[in-house]
Amino acid sequence: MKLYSDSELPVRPALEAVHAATLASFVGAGSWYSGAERCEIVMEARRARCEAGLQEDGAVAPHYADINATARRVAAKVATSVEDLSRDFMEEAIAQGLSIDEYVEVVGVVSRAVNLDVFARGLGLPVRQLPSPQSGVPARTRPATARDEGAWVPTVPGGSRGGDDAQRIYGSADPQAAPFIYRALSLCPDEAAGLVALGAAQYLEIKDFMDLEFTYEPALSRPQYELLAARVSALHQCFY
Amino acid sequence: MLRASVERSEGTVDLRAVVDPTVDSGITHGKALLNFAAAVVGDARAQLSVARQALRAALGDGALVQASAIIANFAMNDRAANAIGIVLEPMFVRGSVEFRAQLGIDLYPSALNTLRA
Repeated sequence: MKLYSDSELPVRPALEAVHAATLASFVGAGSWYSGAERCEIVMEARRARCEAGLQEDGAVAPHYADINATARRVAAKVATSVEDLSRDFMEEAIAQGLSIDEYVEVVGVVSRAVNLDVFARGLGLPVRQLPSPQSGVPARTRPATARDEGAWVPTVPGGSRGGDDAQRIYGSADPQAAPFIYRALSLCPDEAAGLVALGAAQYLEIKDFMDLEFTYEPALSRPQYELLAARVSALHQCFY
Repeated sequence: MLRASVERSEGTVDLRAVVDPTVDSGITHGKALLNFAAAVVGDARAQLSVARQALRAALGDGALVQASAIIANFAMNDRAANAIGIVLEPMFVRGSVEFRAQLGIDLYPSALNTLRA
């Protein structure tokens, strides 16, 4: 069954496919969390967003797993207070026992889950339900190429400095294929690759970035694309 | 990218509309797009229904879906960017000095990640 079969609005197949893959990615083991723990992170984000009035549904779900209070706090804050995320907030979470790698995975899962929920809200649809969690063990490895590139956490460089990790995450050995937003979550490679895939299907592929006439939808011009993007980022006080 | 894309296709844009929705952006159906974006990421449920209907009437079903996809994408990107403290690429920093100051963007807490250097 298609993910958006309940929509009266036409959802492009590529969009539907990447959203289905995103939803499925939450239920399998990640870099540091199990599938059940990742589902619980999604649910914590949904509960927080419902409580904040940022979405209408998705707060009622089974208890998937125990995750620690700091992970819950990070999930809730990233889900609801984009403009208020600071280095102090991250460092406090680390001081309370979350590893840097776990912090990145929580941020990745929540950011991608909010993406799906915001899309559904735009269309006037209920949030998509998570499939059942799968068994499996987290990889518990950090990419060997990750290094300090100026963010608060190590990231995998694009191009030859990122080696096979870069190729796998960004889909190219070209350093131009890895703007910093694509590298943000790269300490957890699958989270970064998931963000890249969503960006390519929803907004633009890197190759189309400087083609200022490109859009996926003829009824929406590129200036209209960019007006939406700029407005959302202004509301979130996102300098990037 | 907004300014560059407008110069390419429609002429001019008033960037103040991005932070002040009472300003006319100069972009076709800009008001409907700005209202919809704010409603989808905001907490005013009643406004969302109105904004969705207005955008659908102005630009059609396909545009409503694509607009939702773009808003969702930046709801994701903004969270990742602000939570990880990434830095804006130098070419974009250099090219945005004037309008960042005009719009107050340099005052965002997340600006520190880039401007501290």
